[in-house]
Amino acid sequence: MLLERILILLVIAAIGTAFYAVWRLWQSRRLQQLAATDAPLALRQLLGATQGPAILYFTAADCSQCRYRQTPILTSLLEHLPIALHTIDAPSQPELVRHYGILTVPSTVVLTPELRPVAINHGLATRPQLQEQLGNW
Amino acid sequence: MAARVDYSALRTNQALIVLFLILSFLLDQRWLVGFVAAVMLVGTIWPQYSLFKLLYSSVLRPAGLIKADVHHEEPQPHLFAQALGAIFLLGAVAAFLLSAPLVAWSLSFAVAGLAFVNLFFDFCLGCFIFFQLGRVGLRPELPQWRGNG
Repeated sequence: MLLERILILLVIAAIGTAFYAVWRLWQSRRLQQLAATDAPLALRQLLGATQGPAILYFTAADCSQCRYRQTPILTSLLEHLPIALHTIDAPSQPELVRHYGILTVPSTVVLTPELRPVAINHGLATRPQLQEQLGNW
Repeated sequence: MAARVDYSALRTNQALIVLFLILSFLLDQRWLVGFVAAVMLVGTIWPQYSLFKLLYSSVLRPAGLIKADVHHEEPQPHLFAQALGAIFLLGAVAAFLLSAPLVAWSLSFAVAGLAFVNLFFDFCLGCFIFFQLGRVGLRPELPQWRGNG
């Protein structure tokens, strides 16, 4: 009986892991597709003549996790780096939200100087995570 | 001044929810599902009496086993997530009473799975739903949730 239940749990864990792997694969494919397409008009309008790598930071007025956790991480990380931070109010930029498939706030998109995304973080992005992504091109 | 949330208390809560629900299935101890449902329900209605969080703040933290990880944040999304978990587990208890163990275990696994995802992947589905409801002008919260992280 116990062995049977352990096996059931293992099967459930395997199914969960498989779903996660498929989701990661889908995310990776989507990132490749986005990197191969031109930046959306809304982004070019937002950034204007800004050049160089950038981070898009999707947030919202009522997001306390953004205010108290994500913003300090980004501010301290980018203090000494020549990388522009563009804070985007997600509810007022539905086109960008759709384009990058933003699911929640905070979310961050790391862009190359050509405005190609190299990483999309759904939820809180830690400092080491962002540092690794910024070093990936 | 914003409210504070101790993430170590949240993680202890999530870890014990996962642990007890897995044990309840492995040992076929259905009353444990009812126990976790009761703990979550009490923690939703009276956050200061949440048993797993009390275990953290009264035993684990003072003993130096877990360090506090306090952030300025509103506790409401996390408590809403717990409320959803409690409702699911109450559904599981009802399903056990109605002799529908498959439904009951499915609901229990859903709660354990989401607590696991929150614990290890830092994604809180209940919080996500709370924010989405906020977008359409709904704010499902109890008055006692304010400042009770």
